[in-house]
Amino acid sequence: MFDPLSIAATGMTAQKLNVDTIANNLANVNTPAFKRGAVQFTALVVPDGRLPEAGPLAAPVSVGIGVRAGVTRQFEPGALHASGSALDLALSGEGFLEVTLPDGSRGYVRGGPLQVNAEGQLVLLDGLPLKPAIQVPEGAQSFEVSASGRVQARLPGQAAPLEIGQLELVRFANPQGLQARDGGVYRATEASGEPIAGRPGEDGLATLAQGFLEGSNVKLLDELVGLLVAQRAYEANARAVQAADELESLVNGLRR
Amino acid sequence: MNEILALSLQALQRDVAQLERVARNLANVLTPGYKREVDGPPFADHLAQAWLAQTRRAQDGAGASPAAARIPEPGQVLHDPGPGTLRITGQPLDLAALDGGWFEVQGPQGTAYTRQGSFRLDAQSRLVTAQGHPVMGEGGEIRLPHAHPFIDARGRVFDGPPDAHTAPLAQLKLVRFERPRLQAQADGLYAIAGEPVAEAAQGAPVVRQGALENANVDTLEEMTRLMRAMRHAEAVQRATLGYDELVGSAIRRLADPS
Repeated sequence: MFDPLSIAATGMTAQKLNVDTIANNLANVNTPAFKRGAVQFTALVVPDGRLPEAGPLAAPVSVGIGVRAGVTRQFEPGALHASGSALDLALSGEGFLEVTLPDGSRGYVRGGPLQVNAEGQLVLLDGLPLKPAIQVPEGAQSFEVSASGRVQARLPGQAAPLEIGQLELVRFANPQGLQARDGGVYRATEASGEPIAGRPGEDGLATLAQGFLEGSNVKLLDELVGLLVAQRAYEANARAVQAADELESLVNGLRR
Repeated sequence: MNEILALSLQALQRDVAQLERVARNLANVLTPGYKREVDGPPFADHLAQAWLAQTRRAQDGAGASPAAARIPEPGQVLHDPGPGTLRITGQPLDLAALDGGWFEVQGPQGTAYTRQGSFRLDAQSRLVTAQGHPVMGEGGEIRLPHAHPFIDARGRVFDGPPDAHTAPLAQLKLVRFERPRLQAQADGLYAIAGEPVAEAAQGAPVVRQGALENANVDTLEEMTRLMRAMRHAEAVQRATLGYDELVGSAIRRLADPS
């Protein structure tokens, strides 16, 4: 009925999203390569509103109707830490590794545990083959990935390692526009722009670090402070909702 | 009889309007670059201005009072253009305009201004606001090779930390106004009426990279306005009820034939 109620309600909804996002960040503080969410607030304005005291025939004015909130992903790199497993691969800096998703489309990941699948291909995470595909010869004891992306395999009985491929990285003009799927896999969208390929270590792209995992980029102190602020903002908006409700009650009470 | 009821209706509408302003400000308490809505001047000021205008007309015989002395007409949305505090985020494309400057943006309704400096690159590598509107440099739209440029205190955008010989990729366009009057548009943009002023004092910083300007909302002040509006509404309601009772009892007694 009254606008103050719906305006304050948008505030409460926005702060709830804020708290939910912070909670999700905190829950994933130890998830490898997790990219924290950040809430973006924008004031909502309609160009053809009317002020309550202006009367029904007043000219329309730009009037605020509350706030809207959206979550964006922040892609600053997390800290690397040695994992103790030579199968782990992390990116030290910006960029993504390209993988082929089960439906044939292109996906992008920040690294993770490597494996060799039944066909001898080098796969990441849950069996997503790297693109360009790297074939590991049968009987290879181990493989090595250099900082610049050179992949070599060690075969038994041979002193020199065999060169089996070169990894490439991609980056995007607007990584916030990437669509996030489960398990740390991203898909390109119109908003993110086309993937721009490059060599690891060149053009500002990350270098590769075998035996390392990237931590989440959640900053604990920032999140906890943000949580306090979000709670207080939620409270303030809840008071405004209560006041609007009381006002409606006053108005209804004009006629017993 | 109707005058008193009309007066209480108007008083209650003003309280609703007051509550709406408080609600809008509280809803946007965490919106970067938000400029809070403030109440218009008190009625006494409007009365004084009208009386002054009338006196001047009587003396001069013609002409309205000079525009500079005018207080805003009632029934307008008024924004406080003053600065909010800064929040350090460390993000290279988070910018805070200092010293009363406004970023110039190409909005859906033409040139607009904002202080919500949470910028990013779009799919075409243009510098845009969080909602996708291009941020203007002195030479038009700004295209950047990557999302972590170095932006100095004068608003010059460099590829990386500059030395004496690096040329800037672009110069951010920041505009300052004398006594700005803001009109809110969608997406954190404002249309500003007012005189643009000359450049900031030589060497004075105009931009801070890695920081965002908070909303200039003071929750304490908003809560006080909220309480005042509620108590006023309560008082008006009681007065109206009392008047209603009075009229009702007058109708009953005077019309009673016995």
